Amino acid sequence: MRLSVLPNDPNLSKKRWKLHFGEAFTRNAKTGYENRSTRHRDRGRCPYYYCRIASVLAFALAGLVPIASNAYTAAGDRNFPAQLILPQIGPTDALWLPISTLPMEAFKPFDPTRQTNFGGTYSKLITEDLGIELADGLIHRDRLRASSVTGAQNFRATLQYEAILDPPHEFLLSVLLKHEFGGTGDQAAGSEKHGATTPGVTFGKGLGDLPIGYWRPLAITGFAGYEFGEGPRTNSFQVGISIQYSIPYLVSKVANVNMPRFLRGMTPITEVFFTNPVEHVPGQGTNTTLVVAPGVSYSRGRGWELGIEAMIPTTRTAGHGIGVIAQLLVQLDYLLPESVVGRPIFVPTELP
Amino acid sequence: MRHRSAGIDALGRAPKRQSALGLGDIQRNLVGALSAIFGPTLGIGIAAATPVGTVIEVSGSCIDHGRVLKFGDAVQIGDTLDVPPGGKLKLQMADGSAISVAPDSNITVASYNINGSSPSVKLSLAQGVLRITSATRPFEVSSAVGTAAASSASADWFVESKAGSARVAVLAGIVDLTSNLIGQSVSIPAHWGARLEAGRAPVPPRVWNQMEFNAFIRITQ
Repeated sequence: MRLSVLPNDPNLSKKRWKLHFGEAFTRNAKTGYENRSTRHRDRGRCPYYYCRIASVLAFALAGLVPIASNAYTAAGDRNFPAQLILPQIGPTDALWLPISTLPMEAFKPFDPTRQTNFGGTYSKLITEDLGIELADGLIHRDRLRASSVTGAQNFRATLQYEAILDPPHEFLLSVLLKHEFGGTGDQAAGSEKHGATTPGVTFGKGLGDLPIGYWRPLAITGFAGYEFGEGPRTNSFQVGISIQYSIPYLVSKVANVNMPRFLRGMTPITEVFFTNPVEHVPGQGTNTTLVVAPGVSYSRGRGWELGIEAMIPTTRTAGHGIGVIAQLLVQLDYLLPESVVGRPIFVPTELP
Repeated sequence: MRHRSAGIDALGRAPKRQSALGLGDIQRNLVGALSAIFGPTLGIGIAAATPVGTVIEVSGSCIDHGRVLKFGDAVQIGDTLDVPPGGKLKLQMADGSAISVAPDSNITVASYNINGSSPSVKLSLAQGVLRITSATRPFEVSSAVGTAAASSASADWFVESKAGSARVAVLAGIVDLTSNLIGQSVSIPAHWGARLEAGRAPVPPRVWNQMEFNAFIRITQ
């Protein structure tokens, strides 16, 4: 694993994070330890601003799950399963409990060898089309020759509005505005001191309305957003897409395929998440991160859903270790349908 | 007011109508004859002639086996009710359930057992839409593609039967939708709905918005 992000060490002469890519990293002011590699020897002297850019990107990748809470939703007979990396494509009443772990390459004491995130996201519908998400969680870091550290993530809130819903074409589109409250988490564990605001668009499109036979269970979801960082935190462009093949859709809409019962609830899914900063760090090539996350989602339509994916970084900036992410979705609107927890706060008038 | 038996699944009832025998009447006679033979053997007995429901609202030429229904008419086991396009029909059932039949619907009361330790109600919806406020569990409505059954003690729900598909939407309670061919079922909670297509598993339920419910409410008012 080449990607590692270090929080501020109070003993360091400079109060800043340091990012290490591959075998190259900076001299540690406290230990004097220096990497033997000279491939990127200039990195340690990169301006503080650029280091910040890279560190934010790296942290966004390591903490991808809790940053991007996800959901299920539906358009017509198409149920889009909960995604594990991309933001949800529509507001809903639900609770997500994701956990992810990502091995890291450590070079010196206090470097994290593994980062594990425990997240929790509560999503509440205000109206049928408008919802808010509140997310927080914990970061746990195992460190090289040092005790592990656990701290809070930054608190995040997302407002999302489902602008287009086209059931016959299994299409929906939402706009969202996410804000990460900087400094609300534990910076020693890697939480950002500065916040960020991300306006974005999400969509989902099932292919069930097309005459493509056994390809009809396919669906595509996507996300595009622009993150405005506060203070020295860099701005970045974010794009994600997922491709999924819904077995529940296959057996309920396409063909009566004889298969074991547990397979009938499976939806193989592959998510791809791409970030590109506005500013690039000199000497590091591209700062783009691209993560591919193949996995599967399982649901029996009983108010819960389980998903698991591998996280495979495909760019150097994103690292090259394989992480794992799992998520339990609790559908509050299914389990508590007649309470305020499971229904929108404001519901349109029902005909008498 | 007609008087027929109730409380036992298609037992102890003899047709009293004097009209020419149709297919429904033949079926009734057959059921009645079988009941007379096997009923005592099974220890069930023949229940007193009791309607299982009453017409409390009707418009248009709603027909029960060739007879035009009017306010106050009784509905009995085996009755097949036709509601024409533009018509409507509401029934108050003996167990407290209420059934609203949408225009262009066809419904048959297959059984209505509300007494004893294991009550059950079975309706058959050939086509159209029903709104049911059920007070008996299980309360089943079968269609050509599957069966919907209220699994909660009380429920307010809709069932729609079309050629090749059925839909169920629930306003209150829980309703199970089971595929006839596959046998697979889904549970639909309040404010959710699901679809079932012929020869397929049920589509996983989803939240219905109020506009979708209002469309059903409107045609069953």
